[in-house]
Amino acid sequence: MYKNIGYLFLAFLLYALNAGFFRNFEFFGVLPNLLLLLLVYTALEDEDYFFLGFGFFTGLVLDFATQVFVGSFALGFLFAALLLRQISQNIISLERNWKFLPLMLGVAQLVVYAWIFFLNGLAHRFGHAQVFFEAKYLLNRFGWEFLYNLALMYPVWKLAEIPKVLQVKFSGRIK
Amino acid sequence: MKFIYTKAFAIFFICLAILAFLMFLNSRGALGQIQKFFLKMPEPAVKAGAYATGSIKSFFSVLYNLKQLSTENTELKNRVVELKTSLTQAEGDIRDNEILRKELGFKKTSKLSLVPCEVMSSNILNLTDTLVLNCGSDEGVKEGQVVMAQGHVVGKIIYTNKNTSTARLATSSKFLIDARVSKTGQSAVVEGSFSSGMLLNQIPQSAPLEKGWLIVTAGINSQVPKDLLIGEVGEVVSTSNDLFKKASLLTPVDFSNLQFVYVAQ
Repeated sequence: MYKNIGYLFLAFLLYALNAGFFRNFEFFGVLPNLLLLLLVYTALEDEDYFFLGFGFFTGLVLDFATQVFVGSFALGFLFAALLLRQISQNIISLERNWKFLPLMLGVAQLVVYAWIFFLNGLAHRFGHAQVFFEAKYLLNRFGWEFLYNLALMYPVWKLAEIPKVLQVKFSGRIK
Repeated sequence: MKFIYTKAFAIFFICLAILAFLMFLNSRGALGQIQKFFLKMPEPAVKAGAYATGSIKSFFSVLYNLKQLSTENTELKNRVVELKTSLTQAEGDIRDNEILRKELGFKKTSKLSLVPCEVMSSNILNLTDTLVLNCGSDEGVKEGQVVMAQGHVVGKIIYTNKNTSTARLATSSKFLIDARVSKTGQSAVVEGSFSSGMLLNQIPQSAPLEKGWLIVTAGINSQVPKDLLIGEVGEVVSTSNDLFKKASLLTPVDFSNLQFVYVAQ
């Protein structure tokens, strides 16, 4: 329970960092997506199923913050989380190392972008979405955002380990 | 064990159900309050982060631009002298204008009505070039109305809820507004330029255009009042072989740090 509360608090902190701090450090027109990095961590490292609801909730927050059609980020994060868990458990069953993490990040980002393009585009087609994203625009952003996220992956990963440490400290065991 | 019998599927299904409910609320326009709650929650932390980086950024940018500051200071002093001269002439024109209007019996046009709004969320991932404002249709905000900050046009309303609205920034590549050159009255179009600035476009090659000239709204669209300041001409970026003249527009507004804006009605 302490671990899950820690993840929620960390999500709040990372959102504030993304919106307040990193907004002034834009590279090639993109900003990092720290909540996506946290999602990758929880999908790969979390033992129970908290990561699913957590991914959905953080995606929903991004939906409201970015003005895409509600559900674009939420479903993207949900499917990305499921896919990452399936890949890490069934396809790459080896001990995790830093070589496969960029691949996981790339897969997660691709799934999120695919959902944004698909769902937001569909909603825009029927007049329910406020903005529309062309595939070319998303593809142009993808590479730079991936590199920016990759650069921040290590510090976010280390931060994300704090809730687990708290869990051990307060309850004496890892759940 | 089949996926549909697992705990993961149950959580997945609950998430889909919640999302379906939220989509239904969105179609009814009832998501405004929920959106406001999600955006208001981290506001203190967001402002603290923005304040911290603002100070750091301005410190380093001052150091980086020290050499330019001295030149800019001299240019600005000369500009102030020129503007004071223009102001004196303009005051005389205003007096003459008033007299003529009285004689011809023109009615004065209604004054601009500005609705103050707070920016709740701005461009967190730089994905949409939009702002979420805390004023909506209840305050009289409508789609197509212009958003202003520091006396300059910064965007247009593209979507309204009861209590919130979304504005597209003027730097967005999808932003377009009819404009005119204040000095000559020449019609033009201002468009955003891939989140980095604004471009003045569709000026005939034969029309004069100089650096520093003011660009204002043309007032062709009934939703957009006339003579709202958009920016001033920077560099002419087109060549004589292009069909139209194009120029960059300069504005003192920092689009990445907007906190309070006004919607012009």
